[in-house]
Amino acid sequence: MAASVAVVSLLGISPVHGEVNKHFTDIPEKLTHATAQMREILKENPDAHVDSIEARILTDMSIDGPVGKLSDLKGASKKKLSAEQVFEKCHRSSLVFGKMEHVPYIKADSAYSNASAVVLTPDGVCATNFHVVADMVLRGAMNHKVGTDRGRFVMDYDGNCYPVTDVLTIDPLNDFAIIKVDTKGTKLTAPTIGDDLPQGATVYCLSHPSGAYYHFTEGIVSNNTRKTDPRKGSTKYITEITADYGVGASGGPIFDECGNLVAIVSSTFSLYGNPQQYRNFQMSYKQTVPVFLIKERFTK
Amino acid sequence: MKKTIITSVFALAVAIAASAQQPGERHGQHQGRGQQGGDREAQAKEMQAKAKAEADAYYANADTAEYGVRYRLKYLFNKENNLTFEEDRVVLIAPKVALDMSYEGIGEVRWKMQNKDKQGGDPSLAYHLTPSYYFYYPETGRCVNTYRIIADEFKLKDAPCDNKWNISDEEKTVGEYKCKKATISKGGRDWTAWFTTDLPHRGAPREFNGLPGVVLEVADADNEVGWTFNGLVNHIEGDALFIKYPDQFSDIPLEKFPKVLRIFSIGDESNYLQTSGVMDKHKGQFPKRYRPSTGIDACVIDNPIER
Repeated sequence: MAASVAVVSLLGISPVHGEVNKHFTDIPEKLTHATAQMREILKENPDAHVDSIEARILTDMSIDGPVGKLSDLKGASKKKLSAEQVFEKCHRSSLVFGKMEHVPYIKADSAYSNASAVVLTPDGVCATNFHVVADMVLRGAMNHKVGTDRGRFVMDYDGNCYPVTDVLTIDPLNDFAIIKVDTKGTKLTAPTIGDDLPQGATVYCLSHPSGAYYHFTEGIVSNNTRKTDPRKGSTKYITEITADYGVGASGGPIFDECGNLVAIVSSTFSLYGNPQQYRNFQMSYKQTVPVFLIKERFTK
Repeated sequence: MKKTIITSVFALAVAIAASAQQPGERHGQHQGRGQQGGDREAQAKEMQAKAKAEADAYYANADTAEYGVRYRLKYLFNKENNLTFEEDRVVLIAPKVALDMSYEGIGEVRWKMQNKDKQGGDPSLAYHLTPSYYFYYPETGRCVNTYRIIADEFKLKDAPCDNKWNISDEEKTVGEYKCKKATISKGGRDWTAWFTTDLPHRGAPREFNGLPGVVLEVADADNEVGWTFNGLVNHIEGDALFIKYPDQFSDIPLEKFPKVLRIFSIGDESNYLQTSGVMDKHKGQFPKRYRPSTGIDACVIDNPIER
């Protein structure tokens, strides 16, 4: 036995250590599991098929909301927590967002993750970015189908997949969407919902950048800005933070030091010394959607 | 500066992989430069011929305007923030039909034809395009209002023109044309129009039809909405002024139009239209794909034209 362990270690493969296993995530295993779950779900639940979701865009989606009552959301907590405690409190509210597509090469449907989301209510109302669901919304509005697309899903920390069944409301300018997933009666872990934070406040990002699920980073609010487009008259709000994130983090939650949801990831904005050629990278603003915009989609 | 959306690079990777495996491109690497140039020229000619055949088929049943009247529309759409929208519009005029539409498409094509070696665009254009169309048939008084979202055409209204104008003896000159004054109360506003009989046939912006001439100016009494005469538009070689009534209308129910319009007016940020595939719903180059996101319907309006 000892000899076999030595051999696999030399090959760079370590056997699973039972005692520390709970701290380590096997991402390929989770995706394989997600593919299997979603294949079953799509067989059983036609509402989860992307064509059904898109067909309901023009009938059921409310562009301006509301999508529920404020009392559906959990009130803010005031108890300050350590970083470890914030992770412990919040990790079940952060969701991997994925897509199910037909892959002709293997003649089967396969799952991949491409973004993040966050639970808002235990019965399956969640938030992500508009740009994460824009393809479904626009195709649904134009009654146009794409043959290989099968569906969307979210996956929780334990690897349980829940299919997206509806886009409830959108705000393309501020880049958020509120979606509904089918939990089949399972209660999701909704976070407490906070308020706008001032510059300098501590924040944590718990998102799923490419290849790294449940990536947890710390930073501060570096800026809060709003800009009214003089041509259209519409106003965009941005909370900039220094907690790191990247591709795949879209729609992921930002928490304050009490573990309250205060924003969701939107985009990065990079500054270059030579902007024409995107050379001499200098800094990147991390732009997030302040949570008050999402709260406004719930009535008092 | 570069803005990055934080989703997947999956599609990009697939596209790169696909393009790397284009057998035609690999084959081309082994060809001589002269042969490549000849092939490209032949391909270009073939594409031009195909585009011309497509255009000929699309405009086969279209009317051809004798001329157009160009206007600058100015509209105080948001009173709270004192925001004004401006768009170049044109009324194309033929004996049996007139059409009010955005001028940007025509203006851009013509500027590029006349400035083949220049970058940029026509500085005289407002660069706002509302894909709304107002057809007017003077003989019957029929007015048809259509709207194009990408390449889907919607028929919003098809009714006789019922404008009850009061024509006065007051006159003024607009451009070099002698105009008469006419007034009407319509859509919650009091409008004054100046129309001329110096130009042939009949036509007017939006739905201000029914006058015995061509309307060169129209504005409301509060000066919040107005079309100002901005010259005549003539035929030029290679860009005829077609009045094209849609061959078919969208398969989307008309009652859904306001929602579709809203989604495409506000949801056209970044490159979503391309990546979603909706631009491919209609094959071919016609009708031209127009996006309402640069037009008036993308604006936060607190002062509607019809109030």
